[in-house]
Amino acid sequence: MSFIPDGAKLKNRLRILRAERGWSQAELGGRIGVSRQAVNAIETGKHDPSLPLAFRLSRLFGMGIEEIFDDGGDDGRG
Amino acid sequence: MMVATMGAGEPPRDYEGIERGRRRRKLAIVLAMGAVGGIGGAIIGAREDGHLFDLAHPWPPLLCLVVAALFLLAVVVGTLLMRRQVDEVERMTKLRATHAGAYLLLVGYPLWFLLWKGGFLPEPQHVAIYASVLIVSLLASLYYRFR
Repeated sequence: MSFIPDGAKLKNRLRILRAERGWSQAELGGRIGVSRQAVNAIETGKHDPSLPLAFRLSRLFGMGIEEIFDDGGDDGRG
Repeated sequence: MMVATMGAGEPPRDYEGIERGRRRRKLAIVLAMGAVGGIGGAIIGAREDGHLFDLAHPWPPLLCLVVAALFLLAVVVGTLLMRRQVDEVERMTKLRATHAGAYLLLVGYPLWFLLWKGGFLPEPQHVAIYASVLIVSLLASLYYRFR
């Protein structure tokens, strides 16, 4: 249980994209300005990244945010 | 805050070393804040030997002012320094932990007060309340850190 809502958990391809480039979690973290633990938390879905961090990942991998993260396709418009 | 970034094409750096350096700086900040707390406690302990844990015994006003200023300075400076070392995940962990402690205070104190007024519990103790908030915040921080 969290006192602060996490919102919908995002699935992501971060671990795959990182592995394709042969980067460690610390290296990816260093490239986007966060810690190794932060990369691990995002990869395992324990933390949904902020929009600025998602944009940094998007620029680093050269792909759209929606190509890295998947919210399950629910656009919230019913 | 940690926001320095670099592109995919740039040459690799010693990221593990950078990570270790960041951990060392965080530890140094925590130790420095602990040292300030220890110094404050030692000053009071030396001046108030025998009355340190006697809540009914007043302490010298000037001594309390000096230690309070020391405490406030350590918290403000330590927080500002620590903010530069943590990323958004750690910041969220600390926010949640603080929130858990605040929730305990907001709910726990009125409950204790009401149960005291009703004769079910002894009078609320501020030291116990403060310690409870600290312990709950610490436990919540550990939970969100290692879950």
